[in-house]
Order: sequence, then structure tokens, then C-alpha cells
Amino acid sequence: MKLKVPLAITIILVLLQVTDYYLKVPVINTVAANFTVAILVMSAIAVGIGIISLTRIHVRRIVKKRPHSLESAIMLITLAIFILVGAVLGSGDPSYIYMFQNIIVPLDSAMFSLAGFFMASAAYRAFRVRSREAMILLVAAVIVMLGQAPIGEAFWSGFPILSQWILDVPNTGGVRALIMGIAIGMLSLTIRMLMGHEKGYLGTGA
Amino acid sequence: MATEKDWTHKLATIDPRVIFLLLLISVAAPLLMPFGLPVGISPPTTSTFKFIEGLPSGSLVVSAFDMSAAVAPECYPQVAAFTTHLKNKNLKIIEVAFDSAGPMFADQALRDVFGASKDHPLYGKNFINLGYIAGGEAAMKTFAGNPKVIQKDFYGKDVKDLEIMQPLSSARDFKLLIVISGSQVDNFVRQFGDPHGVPIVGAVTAVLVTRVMPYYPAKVVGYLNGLRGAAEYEQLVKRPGIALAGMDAQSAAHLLVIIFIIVGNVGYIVRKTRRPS
Amino acid sequence: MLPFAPGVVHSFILLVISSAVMIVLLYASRKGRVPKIRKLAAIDAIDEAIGRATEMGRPLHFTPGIGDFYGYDAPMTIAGISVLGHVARRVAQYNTPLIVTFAAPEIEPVITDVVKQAYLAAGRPERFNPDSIRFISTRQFAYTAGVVGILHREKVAANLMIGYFAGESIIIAEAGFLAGAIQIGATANTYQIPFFVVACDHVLVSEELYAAGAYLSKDPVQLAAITGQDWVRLIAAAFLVAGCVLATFGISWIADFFKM
Repeated sequence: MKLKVPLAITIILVLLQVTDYYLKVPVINTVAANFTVAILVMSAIAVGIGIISLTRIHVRRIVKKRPHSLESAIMLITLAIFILVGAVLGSGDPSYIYMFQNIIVPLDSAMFSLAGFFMASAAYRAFRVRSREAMILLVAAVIVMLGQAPIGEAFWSGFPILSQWILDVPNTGGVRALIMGIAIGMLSLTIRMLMGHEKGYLGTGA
Repeated sequence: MATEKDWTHKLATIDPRVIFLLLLISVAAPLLMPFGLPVGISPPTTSTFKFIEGLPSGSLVVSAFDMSAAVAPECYPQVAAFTTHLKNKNLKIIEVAFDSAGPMFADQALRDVFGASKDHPLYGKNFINLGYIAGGEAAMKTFAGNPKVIQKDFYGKDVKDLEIMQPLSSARDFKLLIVISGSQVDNFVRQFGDPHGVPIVGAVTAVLVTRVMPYYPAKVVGYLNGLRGAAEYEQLVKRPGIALAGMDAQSAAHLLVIIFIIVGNVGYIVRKTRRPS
Repeated sequence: MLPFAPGVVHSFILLVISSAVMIVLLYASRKGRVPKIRKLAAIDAIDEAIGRATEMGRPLHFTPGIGDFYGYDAPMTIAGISVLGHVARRVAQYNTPLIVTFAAPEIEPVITDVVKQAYLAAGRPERFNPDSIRFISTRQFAYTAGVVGILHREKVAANLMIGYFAGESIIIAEAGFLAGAIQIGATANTYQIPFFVVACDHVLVSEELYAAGAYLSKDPVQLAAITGQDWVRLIAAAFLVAGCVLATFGISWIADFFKM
């Protein structure tokens, strides 16, 4: 029963959405659209679950006086301020937007900018000429890097053209094949789920 | 024979902190002292520009913000540039967000390009910010099937009587969908491009461009490649901004990474050739 | 005749053919015909990573990434959690400290269940520590900052990143390298795979992630599903080659089929 009911729900909803995509049957299209709207509601609720989980974890850390409980307190105070301002004044209010632009944007951008630094050190470490294939990869990487930045064009006008060719032809061909493979893999996983062979997501007792 | 402490070992094992510091300097210095390298225009950017140029005045264009705050330094300059173009062509702009941070950037784009957002006299007639719809691809499917499912805009205003929303029945009424994203474009192709035939432009981060290319030019009629794409578009719309200013820094950073790769390989190859076989 | 939406008939035909191939092979496997799949070095390296963490007495960190259960990333998250079950059974046997981090709160009950069941199955329920399951944040880079902090502060010996990853992949992978951890990366998010390739010791590339669950369980039915994937891939390749050859001679049968 613990497996059969969720499985039955999964099968019905998958078949409904697939039928909605392929067939123009008004009743099915309407029912599928309503279920899709239900997903939107569940997604919005999931945001609330995130807030509850975060609050629970960090309050527990503060109460039990675990390490880094000061950071937890700062996090909870910031969360409360954002929720209060957003709920009372609305997220379109200039105050909310000001807080977003001056707290969230710099923090998020700073974290993402680490990717640039880490990519540089990873590239330095990884792009070693250990084999013929590694040499081809290295040359392609250098051409693309020079082609994507104006300095490459300043050295030689052919760099952007070569770089675009590498991206358009071998790279796009490879990515197309990867996308097809991933889609086939997703179909296989879906069939295994529908047949009850993939039960990991159902948790206890499945 | 190569020893642990000799120069080849030092070249092959540079401390990452040295790389980080030099990279920081190479990015910061050109921002303070630009050297003004010319920026060429790539074919995908030209395709994007030409497509928007070819749209009749008054056409409905949707800007779909699927971007988080993290990718704003790369994607927002693209937004500012193409929104300027949309304004210059007198196109109607519907801004909608599928990431919770999106509406803030949509609002900022309206203020930067039009001078005001919800208080502008043309708000609701020529442009609108519909805010964030939770649900990811399910939200895209719902919006594409019936854009009027959104009843209030980002500022809490009722939208059903607004002039810009009147002619909408489905995504087929959109003449163009511009996707601003740092994560994926496939979902927009699946929900807008395939079922409704909406032409798509990708204003994406440089790392996502390889994922957009398989759809170009059949489903994605053009794309802007990260900060470089933004710089190219700023030139095309004659609105030089932060993207053009950042190109010198990008050049310096790319050159530095290439130098480090070469240096590392010199140390590696010399050590390898010295090692007894 | 079914009332098809415009432009989807070819897709429906291919879906039926692909599903039929996979289902036939699944049923054949139930009758004892168990296909063999090639070795996946990255999966075999999981035991090596667990062994290293156990010897050093330092934690093993596992993350299924930033995915959840209702988007494009759902299959990757599910595949990651399948591998987590296997990893958790092993660490339970060897009493290796385990840390699991994730970014979607709705997957917390499933992860907790999977890990708890794994400890139970290994006969070591008393070793399960609920504090090892750590929800960090729903925001991508807040999650990244949390994970990077854990990798450095807790000095993890092994870092397994198996699931859906986006821009944070290189940050977490490089942080793991700098912390001295052995790393295994797996994602089907194509443009993140190169970052794992440069920063990790072992990588599962795209659909190998989906095969991982089957490979670890050695379940004949799941292995048959993987073989089914390969057959469908061959069919897709045959269409490609045939289409190219025919188009070269001006015959557009395959191209026209894809416009149906």
C-alpha cells in the first residue's frame, strides 16, 4: 500500500501530462492545466517550508549554544527584517528593493565571482599536456579564450572566427549528443519509476 | 634530474593564492586605467539585433527573468542594452520572472531605461512588470498557455484592465521571448518555442552559451554571450555602459589565465623530459 | 485518428518506440537475461573515497546538489539520492563520519529516511546521527557558502557531489580540492561537466549519473533499463546518419518526418 498509492498517483499524473502535451482534447487539457496550477501552489508552499526549516535549524543552534550561533542569530534577524518589510510594504516597495540591491546582490555576486578565481586555479592545474588529446584540448581552450576577449582580436583577427567555429561545430555537436543522451536517460528513469523499479524517492518502506 | 625544489617544480606547483591575487589585480587595474581595446560584434549578437530591428512597432515582447542576483553583473548589462533597443523601437514589453530575484531586476531595468517603473505614465500601456511566478517549468507552461493567469503585477496592481494585457490569449501573441538566465534555456524552448512557436533570444551567462547553441538558429534566433554580448549590444544600441568598460578587464584576465597555463606546462614538460625513463 | 497537437507526431512515435524498447528489455531481464554494462570508474572509486575517509578519521561529505523533486533537475536529484543510499550503507559499516548537505527542504525527509534505512540495513542503527543531515539554504550561493565552510572547517577527506549542480559546481569542487579531499563529481547538467572534469578526481559524465543507481544495486531490471538506453541511443544515431546521407542526395524523408 505504501508503494502502490504513490505509484498510482505518479502513473496517473505522468500519463495526464504526457497526453496533454501530445493531444488536443479539451477535457484532458483543462484537467492537466489545473494540475499544473496545483504545482505552482505547491512550489510557493515549498518556499515556506524552506523558511521553516532554516528557522528550526538555526534556532536550535542558538538554543543549544553550538559554534557559530552568532552567525545564526544574524541570519534570523536578517530573515525577519526581509519578511516584515516584504509583508508590510510589499516586495515592490523601494525600501525592499534597496535592501535587496545592497545586501543580496553584492553577497550573491561575490560568491559567484569566486567561480572565476577557482576556475583560473583549476585551469592552471588541469590543462597539462599529458597526452595528444590533452594538447588538442589545451589549444582549443586557448583559442576560445583569446577569441572571446577583445585582446585576441587585437593580436590576430582570426581568433574570434576560429573561436566561433570551435564553439559552433565540435562543441555544439558534442553538446547536442549529450542533450539527447540525457533526455534518453531521463526517459529510462521515468519508465523505471512508473514500473516501480526506482523507489529511492519514496523513502521508508518502499 | 628534476628535484623537488628546483624552478621546474615551482613553475608546475604555483600556490593558488598567488593566482588569485594576480587575477584580482588583472581585473581591477583595467577598470581603473582602461586601455580601450575595440570590441567586434559576433554573428549571434548581430542576429539578435536584426531580429528586434525587424519587429513592427507595437509588437509584444516578453522579457523572462530567470536570473538570480549572482548572475546580475553578467546579465543585467544585457538587460539594460536590449531594453533600450525595445524602447527605441517602440515595442511593448511584458516583464515576468521565474526566479524570485527577477522582478527586482525587471524593475531596475524600467527605471534605468524609462526613468520610472510603476509611476511612469506609460506603465500598463507600453510596459509592465508582472513579478515572480513560482513553480519553475510548470509556471512557464501555465503562463504560456494563459498569460492572464497572473492577476496582479509586481507592485500589487490589478492587471486585468491594463491595456497591454488585453490582446493576450496565449504565448502565440508574443512576437519574441527574451530569456535572461544563468541556468537553462531548454525549458523555455520546451514550453514557449515548441508548443507556441515563439521566437526566443537568449541573454545568458557565458557559461550557459554552450547550452544555447544547439538551439541556434532554429529555435533560438540569437543570443548574447555573457558580458561580451552585453558590450557588443551596447555598441549596437549606442549606449556604452558597464559591459564595454569591463571588456579590458576580461581581456587582461583571459591573458593571465593563458600565461599561467603556459607557465605550468613549461614546468611540467621540462620536469617530464628530465625524469629518467 | 488521434487529435494530435501540431508538430508533435514525430515526437510521439519516437517516444512509443523508445519506451517499447526499454520495456521489452526490462521484461526480458525478469526472465533471467541480465545484460552486462561496462565498468564505471567513478562509481568504483566511491569505495576508495570511503576507505580514505575511514583511515584518516575525517568525514565524508555527500551532496545531491541544489535540485528538488519537481523540476528538470528531479531525475538528477533522485539519481543522487539512490547513490547516497549505497554510500550511507558503506559508511555505516565502517563507522565513517558522514555529512550530507542539500539545498531543497522538500527532499529532507527522503534523505533522512534513506540514510536512516541504510544504517538499519547495515545493522548499525545506533550510529545514525540526525545532525549529519544538513539543510543549508534554498538560495544557490548561500548553500555554496555553507558547503565551502563545511569542507574547510570539518576538513573532509572525501567529497561526493552527485546530482544537480549549476554555477556552484566549480566553487565547491575547487574548495574540496584545496581542503585536500578526494572528489567524485556527477551531474547531467551539461555545461557544468567540464568544471567537474578539471577539479575532481573522478567524474560521471551526463547519463552515467542515471546508470549509477543501477550499477550499484546490480539489480538485473535496472541494468536492463540502462541497456535499453543504449539501444535507443543507437536508434537515434541511426536516424542521424540516415538523415545526413539522404539529405546529401536531396532526399528529405527523415527531415520531413521530424516536421510531422
